[in-house]
Amino acid sequence: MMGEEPRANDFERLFDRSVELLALLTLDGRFVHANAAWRTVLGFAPEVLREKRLSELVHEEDRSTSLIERAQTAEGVIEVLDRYRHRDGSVRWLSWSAEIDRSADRIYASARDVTEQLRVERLQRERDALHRVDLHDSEARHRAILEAAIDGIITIDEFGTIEAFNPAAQRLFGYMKSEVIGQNVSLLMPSPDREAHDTYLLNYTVSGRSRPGLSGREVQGLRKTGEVFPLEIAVSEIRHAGRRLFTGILRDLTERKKVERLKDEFVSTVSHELRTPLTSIRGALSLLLHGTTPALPESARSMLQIAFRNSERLLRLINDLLDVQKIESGALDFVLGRSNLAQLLEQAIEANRSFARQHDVQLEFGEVPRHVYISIDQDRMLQVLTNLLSNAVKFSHTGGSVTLSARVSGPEVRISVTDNGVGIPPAFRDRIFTKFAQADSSDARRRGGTGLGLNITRTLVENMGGAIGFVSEVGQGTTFFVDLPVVGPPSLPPQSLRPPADPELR
Amino acid sequence: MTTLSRILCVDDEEDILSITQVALEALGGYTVCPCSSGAVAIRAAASFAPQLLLLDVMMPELDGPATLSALRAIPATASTPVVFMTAKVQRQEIAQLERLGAVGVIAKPFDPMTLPDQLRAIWQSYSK
Repeated sequence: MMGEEPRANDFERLFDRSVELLALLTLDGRFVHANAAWRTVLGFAPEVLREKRLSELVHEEDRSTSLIERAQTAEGVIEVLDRYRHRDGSVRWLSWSAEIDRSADRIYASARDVTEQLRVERLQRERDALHRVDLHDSEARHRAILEAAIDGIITIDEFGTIEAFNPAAQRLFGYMKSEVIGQNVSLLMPSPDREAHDTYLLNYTVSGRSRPGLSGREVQGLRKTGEVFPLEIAVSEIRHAGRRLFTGILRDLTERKKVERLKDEFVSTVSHELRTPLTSIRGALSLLLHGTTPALPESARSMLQIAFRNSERLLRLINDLLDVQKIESGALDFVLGRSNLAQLLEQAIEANRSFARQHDVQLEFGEVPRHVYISIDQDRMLQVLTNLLSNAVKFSHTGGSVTLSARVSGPEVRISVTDNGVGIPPAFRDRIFTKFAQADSSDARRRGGTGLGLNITRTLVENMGGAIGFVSEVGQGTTFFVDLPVVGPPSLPPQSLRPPADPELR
Repeated sequence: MTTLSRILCVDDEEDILSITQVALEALGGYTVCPCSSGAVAIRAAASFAPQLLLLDVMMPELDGPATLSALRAIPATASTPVVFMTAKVQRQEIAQLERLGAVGVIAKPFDPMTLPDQLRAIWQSYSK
């Protein structure tokens, strides 16, 4: 059975539904027929195109390679990519598939608008190219950094095998790069760091857990010559192509240590050298003033008192400087032991009574709980309390009083030193614990302080696990307090840390 | 308990030595043999026959510990109790002096007004 024949306009309607451009052209490029897609793609209605040649629409740069040009010599099916001007002047890329029939003077052509597709492809290509440049650039940059870095930079894999070793690392360890690449990093460490590192890497590889504080640590390095030297190391982990790598940045601390040691020695020597003549001055003045010689005229006595007072002040300054130096060089040792709080506070009061009397200030005991114990270094704690008490005395008015008290609150005890003195100016409160802090310099001279006392005091308190603070009101007075954890009495095991039920006793 | 009266003092700082002597003699009523070096002390030891040695630690040539060991070789001071005076009063430094047999350590700079009392207290606890 024969199928039905297409009607006259069937093809025309079918062509108009096509999203591709369809055109029936003569060999010289005149339109015999064009579908509706031409309007959408190039802005020309089919009836307008019938008045034109395809070559009129071709992009000026593509004239020699356009479909029509190619059709002049081709036969059969050809594929062409060329550009055309939209009616609004914009450019469109068309990808043609066309059959050339010279004998019939016909080109049967269909074309797809590939402008957008090409734009995306070009962007992608550009991005890839940029990325390649970037990658190359960043590799070059990294290499330059690695080469020029003052710090040694070493990269190892998760088994400790050295993969990168920059020139600074070569200078640091005395090995050439070729000598260490492929070797285990433990080559660069003395015992026992070497064994510890092996264990660490093994643990890390197995558990994936890193040891805390791997950055900014001080470790020992081993030079090719066998010399052990101090190193600061910062390690970061990187993942590259599915592998775990560790990059260590290393800095030789030899020079820094030397300078620190020299500085410490200098401060220590100078302080000791200053103390020796001062001991003689102070001793001689003390003996003169306190009656080992026949009675002195009053005018001479008052001059000697000035000299004695200032020799004491100079001595305090030197002692404070020595303390600061010890603290900063880590040479201050703390021997913590359990002490009865009330007894300790009584001792502190006794030690400072004569100083308070000199200033005509009364030292008083406030509420102090008995049977409360704290874990402290007794000498250092007495130094803390002496500092706070003598400060309070110095800043009290003549005839005033300073109260030492303590109160248990939860797991801690707060020791307070309260005066009714001048108070701390608000502008000075932020700096009060910093070195050489004085509310004003005339004040320092009048009070005979060094500006180091509270800085030392805070360091001592913190080294014993405590905290220090203050409340103050100008003209009303100041309370300095030290909070320390309460512990059990010496006979009890360490876990009995509970304070007694009713510790408040006068 | 014997009363303390004869003290041999060694300090290379002559001013400090004078102050020590004045304080111990004028305030404490002791008899003092002042020595400006370990060598001087070694020469004086036998004839003075001290009951107590008061030695500075840091001295040129013979320091305090070296002076002590030399004095131990002299019969008159073979077992005389020793007190050191030192500016280095860190715990480990004091412990080291105690290991050398010190019955007391006096921190420098000392207060000459209380020095006689300090020595008396050390003597009393040693003599018990």
